[in-house]
Amino acid sequence: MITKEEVRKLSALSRISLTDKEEESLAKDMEGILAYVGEIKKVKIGDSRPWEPAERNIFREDKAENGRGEFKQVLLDSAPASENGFFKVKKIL
Amino acid sequence: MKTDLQNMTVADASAMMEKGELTSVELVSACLAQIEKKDKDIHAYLEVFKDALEQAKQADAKRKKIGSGRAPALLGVPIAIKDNMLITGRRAGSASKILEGYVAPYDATAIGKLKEAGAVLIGRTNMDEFAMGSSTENSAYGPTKNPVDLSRVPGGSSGGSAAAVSGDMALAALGSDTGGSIRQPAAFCGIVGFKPSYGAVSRHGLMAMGSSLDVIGPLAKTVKDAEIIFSVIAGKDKMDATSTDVRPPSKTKKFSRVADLSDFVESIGSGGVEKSVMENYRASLDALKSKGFEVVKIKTDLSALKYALATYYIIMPAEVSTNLARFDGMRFGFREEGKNLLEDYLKTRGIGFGKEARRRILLGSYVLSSGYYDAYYSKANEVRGVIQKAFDGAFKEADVLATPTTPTPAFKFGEKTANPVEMYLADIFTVTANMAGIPALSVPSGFVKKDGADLPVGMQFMSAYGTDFSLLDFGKAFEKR
Repeated sequence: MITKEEVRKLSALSRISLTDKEEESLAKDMEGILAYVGEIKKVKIGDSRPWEPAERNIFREDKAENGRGEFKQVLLDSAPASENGFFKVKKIL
Repeated sequence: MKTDLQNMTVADASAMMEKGELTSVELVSACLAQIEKKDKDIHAYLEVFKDALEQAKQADAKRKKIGSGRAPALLGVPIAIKDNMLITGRRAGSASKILEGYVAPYDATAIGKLKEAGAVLIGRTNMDEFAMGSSTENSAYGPTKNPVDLSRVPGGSSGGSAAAVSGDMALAALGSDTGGSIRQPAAFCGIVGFKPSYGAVSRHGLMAMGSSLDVIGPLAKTVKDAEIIFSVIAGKDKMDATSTDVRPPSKTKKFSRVADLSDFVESIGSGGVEKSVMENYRASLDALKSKGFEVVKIKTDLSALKYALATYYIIMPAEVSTNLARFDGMRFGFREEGKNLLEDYLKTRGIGFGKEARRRILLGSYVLSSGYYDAYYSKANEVRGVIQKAFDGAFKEADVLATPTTPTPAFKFGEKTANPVEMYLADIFTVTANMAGIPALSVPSGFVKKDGADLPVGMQFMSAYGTDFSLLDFGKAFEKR
């Protein structure tokens, strides 16, 4: 039973604001979806190993691959607000 | 007519341009004229690139310069690109409001390879927002219509790419496939859709949805065309640690055994598969048998495959909730201002993301949260292991596993939007391949009658990991049945 409280907690965690109506609708949707996906509890695992990615800890050399400042302007231009070479955001602390 | 787009393939066009019977300018102009004529009704494109004709001129000039027989594989060929792939200096947004205004700072590796091969990038195509959907009804910019029947969806999430090719507004397109997003729209629109083996095409520059599932692949009119494009975009890339090289064409074995999965197909819950689709499936298997293929029943227990969709709708939202965390109104796209930083996040993401995106992010957060992690996410990874094992067993008994690509032909707009799970079920046969990372090809297999219309359907063929070229060869044989 997915409650509006749970939806509210999840939306806070995901940083997504929802209206009251949206919370209600999502609670109902999630109820239905979880009922469907919850069926996997019926699957017998036997001796198979859980899925794992084929790769593990792929590293590269810790050195610059681009020219100095090569992408700086284009990245700053993409941002909603920037100033003097910084992304401009509201105060964090 | 030199530029009879309806019957022109990438292979044909390349041959004609090589012989001097056609120029890229003529070809691209024809596509642009078709777009002008049809796209106001279909809406396959979010943007047609204003420099498409200029690219074509450059392709023609390059062909003159380099001489015959040495033209790169796709020189002058107009290809449409799904809106979730980055092209330097061009807008990209995964059909989402949250990326409004975002301009790509670099080329996706697959795009770079298309450019190197001389392709003309004609425009970016519509899609379900962040690749979440099976109908392109979740685009923040309005839906795309199926060129075969405008009252029906083209499928999704690569609906725009499928409609562009099916509507003769491009010779081919790139799409991405996480649970069926290339194959399902290809089947609905009557064209070929190929999902390569996971890792066969670099994901660098593809906006991530489900990082263990996403694959870039071609949508085209023929399997040969899909193969040409795949050959261009495939290859291990240092910018994508999950990328790999698949077995080259010279080292592929010829497939001869096809599995008849009628029992599995029919067992898919609540009478989901339409009778006409089952008939088409059986007819296709019969056609393969008369072509000399051995059609076999599998003894390996495939019952875990029935849970592939449920497993997918745990793993994929979990990965989505992580991958979409970066869209926070700070570094790219749109920001909705609040009273403080936290409100900036809450409002930007609340408004910038559409309904389905919000639904899946919340679902993902739920299955990853403590108290639920074991029952859902951990269990899903275990089931994924069982599914992979089932496929391993099946591929010892057959080279190719066949299913209908979709349980139904293209549905009408609004038909499946009331209940999310109804929509998810459209991918019941396609998700299996993404869960195991194996290659899967959808080939048009004829038409079924529905509501007085003739609607295309597709046959899905899957084969073992890394056997992409063998699968494509097999697909060509099926086309000739």
